[in-house]
Amino acid sequence: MLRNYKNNAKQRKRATAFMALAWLLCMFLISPPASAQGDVRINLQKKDITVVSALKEVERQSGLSVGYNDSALESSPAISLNLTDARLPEALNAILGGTGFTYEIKDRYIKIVPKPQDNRPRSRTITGQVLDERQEPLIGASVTVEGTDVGAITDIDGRFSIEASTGNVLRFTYLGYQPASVKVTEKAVYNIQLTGDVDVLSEVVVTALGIRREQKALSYNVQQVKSEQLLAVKDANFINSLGGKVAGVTINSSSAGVGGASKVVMRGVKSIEQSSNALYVIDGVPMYNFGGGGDKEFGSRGMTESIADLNPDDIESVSVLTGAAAAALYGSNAANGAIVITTRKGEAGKPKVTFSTNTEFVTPFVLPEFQNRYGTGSRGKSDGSTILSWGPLLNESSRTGYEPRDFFETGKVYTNSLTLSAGTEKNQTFVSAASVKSDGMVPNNTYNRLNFTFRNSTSFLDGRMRLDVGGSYIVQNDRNMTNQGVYSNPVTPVYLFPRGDDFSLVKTFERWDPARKIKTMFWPQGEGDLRMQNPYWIAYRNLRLNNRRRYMLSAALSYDITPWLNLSGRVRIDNSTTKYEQKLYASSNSTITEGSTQGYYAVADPQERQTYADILANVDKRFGDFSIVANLGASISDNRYDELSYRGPIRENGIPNVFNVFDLDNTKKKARQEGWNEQTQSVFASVETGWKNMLFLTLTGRNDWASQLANSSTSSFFYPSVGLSAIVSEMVQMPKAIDYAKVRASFSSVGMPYPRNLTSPTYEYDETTQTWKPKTHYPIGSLKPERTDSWELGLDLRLFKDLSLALSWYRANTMNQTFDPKISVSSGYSTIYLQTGHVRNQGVELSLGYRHTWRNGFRWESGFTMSANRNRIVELVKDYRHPETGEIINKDRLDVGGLGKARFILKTGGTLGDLYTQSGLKRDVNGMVEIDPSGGLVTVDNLQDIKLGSVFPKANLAWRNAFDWKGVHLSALVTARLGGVVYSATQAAMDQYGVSESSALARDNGGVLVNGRTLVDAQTWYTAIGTQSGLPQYYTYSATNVRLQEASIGYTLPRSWFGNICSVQLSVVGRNLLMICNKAPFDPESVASTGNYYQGIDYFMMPSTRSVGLNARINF
Amino acid sequence: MKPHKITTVLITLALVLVSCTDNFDKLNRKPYQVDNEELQREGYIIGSTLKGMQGLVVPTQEHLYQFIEALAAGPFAGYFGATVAWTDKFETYNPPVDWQNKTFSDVFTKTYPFYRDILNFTDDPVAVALAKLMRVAIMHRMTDMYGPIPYSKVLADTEGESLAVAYDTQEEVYRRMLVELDEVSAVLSENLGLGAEAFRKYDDVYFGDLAKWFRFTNSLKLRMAMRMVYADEAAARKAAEEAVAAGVITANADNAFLTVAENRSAMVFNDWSDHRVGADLISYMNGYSDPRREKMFTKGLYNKKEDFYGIRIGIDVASKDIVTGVYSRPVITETSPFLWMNAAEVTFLRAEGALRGWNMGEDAKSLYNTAIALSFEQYGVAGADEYSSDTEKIPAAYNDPLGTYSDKTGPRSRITIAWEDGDANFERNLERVITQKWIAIFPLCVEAWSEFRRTGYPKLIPVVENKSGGTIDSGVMIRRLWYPPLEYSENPKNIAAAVAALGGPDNGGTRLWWDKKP
Repeated sequence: MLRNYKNNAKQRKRATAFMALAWLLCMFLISPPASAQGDVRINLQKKDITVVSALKEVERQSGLSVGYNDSALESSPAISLNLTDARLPEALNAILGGTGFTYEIKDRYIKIVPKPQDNRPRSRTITGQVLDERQEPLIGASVTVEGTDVGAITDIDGRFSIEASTGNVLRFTYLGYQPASVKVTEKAVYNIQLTGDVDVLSEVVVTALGIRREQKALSYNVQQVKSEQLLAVKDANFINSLGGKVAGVTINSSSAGVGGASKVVMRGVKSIEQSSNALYVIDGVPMYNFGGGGDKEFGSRGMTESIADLNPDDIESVSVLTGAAAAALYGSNAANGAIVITTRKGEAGKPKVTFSTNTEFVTPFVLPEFQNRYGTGSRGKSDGSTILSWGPLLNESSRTGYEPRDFFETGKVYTNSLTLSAGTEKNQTFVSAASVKSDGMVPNNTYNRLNFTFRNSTSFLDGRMRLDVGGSYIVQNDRNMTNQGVYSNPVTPVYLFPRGDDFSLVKTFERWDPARKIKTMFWPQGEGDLRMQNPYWIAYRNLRLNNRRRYMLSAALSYDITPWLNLSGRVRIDNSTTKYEQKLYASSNSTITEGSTQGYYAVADPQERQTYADILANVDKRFGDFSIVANLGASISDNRYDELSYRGPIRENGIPNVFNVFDLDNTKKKARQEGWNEQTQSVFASVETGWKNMLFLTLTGRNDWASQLANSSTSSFFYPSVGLSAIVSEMVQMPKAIDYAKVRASFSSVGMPYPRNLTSPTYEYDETTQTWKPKTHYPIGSLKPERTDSWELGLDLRLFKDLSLALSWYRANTMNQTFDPKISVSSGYSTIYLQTGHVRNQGVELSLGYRHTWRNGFRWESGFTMSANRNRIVELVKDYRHPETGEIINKDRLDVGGLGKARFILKTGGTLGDLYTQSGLKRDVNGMVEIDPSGGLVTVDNLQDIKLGSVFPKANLAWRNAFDWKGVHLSALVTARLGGVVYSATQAAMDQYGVSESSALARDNGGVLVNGRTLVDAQTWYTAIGTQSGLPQYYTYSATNVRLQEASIGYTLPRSWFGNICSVQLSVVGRNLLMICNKAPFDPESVASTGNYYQGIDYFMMPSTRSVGLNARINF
Repeated sequence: MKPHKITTVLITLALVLVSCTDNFDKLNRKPYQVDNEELQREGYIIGSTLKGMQGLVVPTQEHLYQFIEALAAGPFAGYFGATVAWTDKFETYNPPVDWQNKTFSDVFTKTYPFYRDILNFTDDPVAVALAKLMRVAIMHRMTDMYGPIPYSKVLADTEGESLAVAYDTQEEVYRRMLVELDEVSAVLSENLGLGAEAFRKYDDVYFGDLAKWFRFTNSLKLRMAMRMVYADEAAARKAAEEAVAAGVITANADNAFLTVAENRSAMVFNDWSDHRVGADLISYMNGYSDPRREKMFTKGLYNKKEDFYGIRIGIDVASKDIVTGVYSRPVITETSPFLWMNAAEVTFLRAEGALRGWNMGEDAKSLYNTAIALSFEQYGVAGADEYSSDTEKIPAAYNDPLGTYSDKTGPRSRITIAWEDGDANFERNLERVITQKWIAIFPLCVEAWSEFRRTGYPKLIPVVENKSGGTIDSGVMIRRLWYPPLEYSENPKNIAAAVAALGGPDNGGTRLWWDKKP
């Protein structure tokens, strides 16, 4: 194979990479390594042949590779040859005779080089070895003498030998590593260590169980995000910073605001009833993500989650394993994909101190369109209602100019963090402290967090034993974290505030009641049908307080028994204690206080405990061309939750606003105890076999004993995976443009236990009747674990050196799902546990990257990601034979919840996100809306299913660009979501109350044109379609949206400005800066709950936030 | 260490782990809940299941109570009107789908787990009899609301439980329930000597007094018998006379009231303020200057004038905040027991039987007057004699204090209180009996609505907003509730048969089997 590499500074790097590849390919294609060049005979009789063509012919006949790197060779005059059975040197001398070039033969490679010239310094032979960070030899690394055409390639032991003179500079390059240069001195031997280039394809990534692997060996898609990318635009819940940076992941941030739980789903929703949310793994240990959820229809309590507690500054990198194969070793939850977080360790060398401070200003991002020209009242009159805005048109003097936006304040988030890293070769320490302090957009809403982290890594016994211990302590508190809903949600009265009233009057939300000697709520507008209260009263007198203490301790001990065998053990403990309090002050809405005029108090103490331990034996060995990396291990994971709560109204003769359990109404108080425990014990093994560093086969297997399966016939389950990865670019000749090409394929089957407690039935306490109530589900027969089978095919390419592409196709079938659909009440039960259900997710992920640094130091980095997933219910309940009764059950439709008249209905052939309604305006036989003689409209609720759409996106796109030049850094991320629908009950209520712009416009126009001919009174129309969370078909919107999600501009002030003591990076960052396109009256990417079947529903959801922040980072 | 040694260590460790899964049993059981074994202790399960069923006769759970009594049957009976600006609701004949599911499904799915448990866990004939009685007491209300219901086939055979069973026609349900009441009655009479101690702690109604349960059983039979009168008078008369002969409730001491730790239905009216007393009931009682009003309702306030104000039923409420202060609330507190059946009702039933010429032990007029007196006594109000001899007073026309919804037609009925002798006055006396019973059994909503449908009394004011889309005639008013979509999707074959048996479309305009008054 003939390589033409221009000896041109710009392309030198690429050329050397080609050399390296060429070398490897030679090694692969020709075996045994030839000692037999002498036997080669060349036959070539031709006139007017170019030198290059002649060399090609030599290459063909000899089977050796010929490489040259000077255009001068191409411009050499044509020659005539007459070679018969010529030996190789003879033939080459004949060809190169008049060109000024000569040749070198090394093993199977012929290198054409210029003839040495006499005026050059006298060169000598330099030798050495090229190693990687782990002291492993790098085979095929390219060594060149700068400014000359002299080059060499390292052998199987990473050794090289090259002619160079003192004063020359040797340059070492290897694909996937940062180039290194060394000046030749009097020394004759040079050992070079190359460090991995983090951004290229053969980087080392963290995979299952914290095992570090070269990316090229992986048979699945792993996307790594470095801490710089996460830290650039910080979020209190760092998961939100991942959005748009990896393909195949859908991240919906919480409407609960700063610190709220995010919904993270990879490659589509898989489970009908269990969670499809991604698994989080910290330093190789799965973390159970407590929290999330959040209130749905009525309540408004927003939730944070365990993962949100992490200090982003403690994170070294994040690997995103989107597929089940990637995660097969982590156990069941990994079927949903995993986010693998590697935290920072101390580094050897001089102490590094970093201080960063971040101030962020938060404002509402997307708000619905409001009106303020029609005032309080009903039917165009100002009497008749104190809360509706269907009153008369306001004139100049009576207009109050009320804008709901005025209620929101500019939220502020202050983040400060300090990290310290120091250590020697044998002992490294990392310490960090961080604080987040925030005031939300809603008055009196706060989220605060303090993180303290300590980590120490020590090695003993000449580095053969390593001990790594770490600990974190987190103090977190929040007040009034609100997601959506109507009870105690200030957004509801703010949006619906009657437009003829003066909002400034209600800003003084409480008035002194001289008789009661307390302040009581001022809210003459009334509660409407949505239990509304004064929004400021809600903010200051309907309090929800969370106070949390969490500690995490971990220890890992590793011992190298032999250079290739290592034993390790790890333990991780993660416990947290929370105190949750709810305080509703006297005169709050009596529905919410359960009737008390004195107030309401709730207190709960959720305790979360998780313990994980494992032992692992790791083998890493080479046998000639083969390498084996094997891991064998066992683990135990135990998660428990426990909560004691006490709640109730303060009794009528109790003291108002004294919040403790003593004075609660004895008949209405509720004391509760809840808890659960899950334990999984596992053994697992993984074997990765590599051949010549270009073909890898990985097999894994895991067997789980899960406590959920207690008492059942199947007490454990096994799940395997197999993957193949081939570096094609090292096996066959690729077009010149392709530097690296890898194809990969994998299959995995991941088992998952059915939900806990099913096999150990118990009776639940009913507080109303104060008795234990029996189960209402049909007796459970024998259950089997669920299973997700995934196939994945992928291609990783690196083109023109700067361009990278990763493409994956996957299909995942989740089968044997356990769920409890409703059955006919005539059975005497309400639900039945079934095991069937087959959901298929199929899709593609694409990430495209470009990165180039120009000679003047200008750097452009661009990344594009695209993911598209198709979710399909292949089977719901088909010919399911109930194991006890033998009855055959079929179901092709399942109502799994929703809000009001919008229902998530699962149907065979549909998706898990299909939203339907069965309600609509009554229509006549011609399909016309029926209007009765009095102008009224009739709603019917028993229509055939009307499909509104699926809440799932068809595709997600993101494009990130970053520019660096002389310390100036500029970046922007644009994300787009295509397809899917969302439903807004908020807009419906706004229409019903007459506060929406659409309702005002209809009044301006004298009514709403129905059936294309009849003008129906605006209030009649909007009451009919907007009442009780609305007729969803009028409030379903396309969820397609495009936004400028992140942008930042920064400047690094040179160290020299600060007397070389420190460098300072300053930046201005923004999130959700611009909505380029959006048709919904709210942010379609916001979710209120991380649970199933509430995505895409807006019911007075807190608006999503736009934030602009200032960031300073000082590195000492 | 040699590789094989390591493997040995790992395998040993794995085995150690495996053997640790013995405690999974315990781990997987929900803490703080009880299992079957624990429930058996001291016969707890008998008490909890019986009490559980007692909590469903009139639902004690606040939401279920609200759906069935306050939102659905209450307005249909003229008892309650909603104050919330819901535009879709039962009283405007267009309840949302999830409300429709509640009134039907929740009762079944809450009742049968208790019923099944008691059949499975005890052979005690009295316990089983009481459970059967509760099932009739719960389910006769269901058939009175819907018509055909699943009844005889539910749990018919504990061996072969089915996911969906057939419905019985209402006639079948009634006949079967009467047989079951006789069976219960027989068991109770055999065990009258048992003493209250045996069931005291399992019973929040009569606290183990089986004699009272016996009288309640016969009274329930009388109530159901009377309902059949226009459908099968002979059978109705036979059952009614049997019941009275066996012994029914005659004194307020025997009233069936469920005592609860907390009456959570009070929240619906007092705390949520979602309902106020209906215009119909207040207008009738205002017209009669009924002294029981003080005990039954709070006074509303309008223009600084305190009075008993009722809310017009079936309107589109513009503003809850305006109406809640004006209209009267029922006097139901956290400590109020739930009324199931009182001596007045039973005596009114006997009065109606006597009016029809049946042997009810006494003549119609005296039973009528006794019934009124029993109701006055129940409320601790004097003046029953004066009240029941009043020949002048008639119901008042409804005047809405807010002016919007006054009933321009005037009083819907001119019926006086005092009994009028003579066969010619049969219909007027019937109206009297039912009207006075309607007042006396407040707030027994389902029963009042059923009797209104059976007899056409009391005459109620039509709803203002009829959003049934033409299926319900405002003059005839709603005759039943329709089946929820869930049954159509999960039990399609049997629901089709049930609807066929209904004898009309599955909507609120179709009359039930016993709704046959000419």
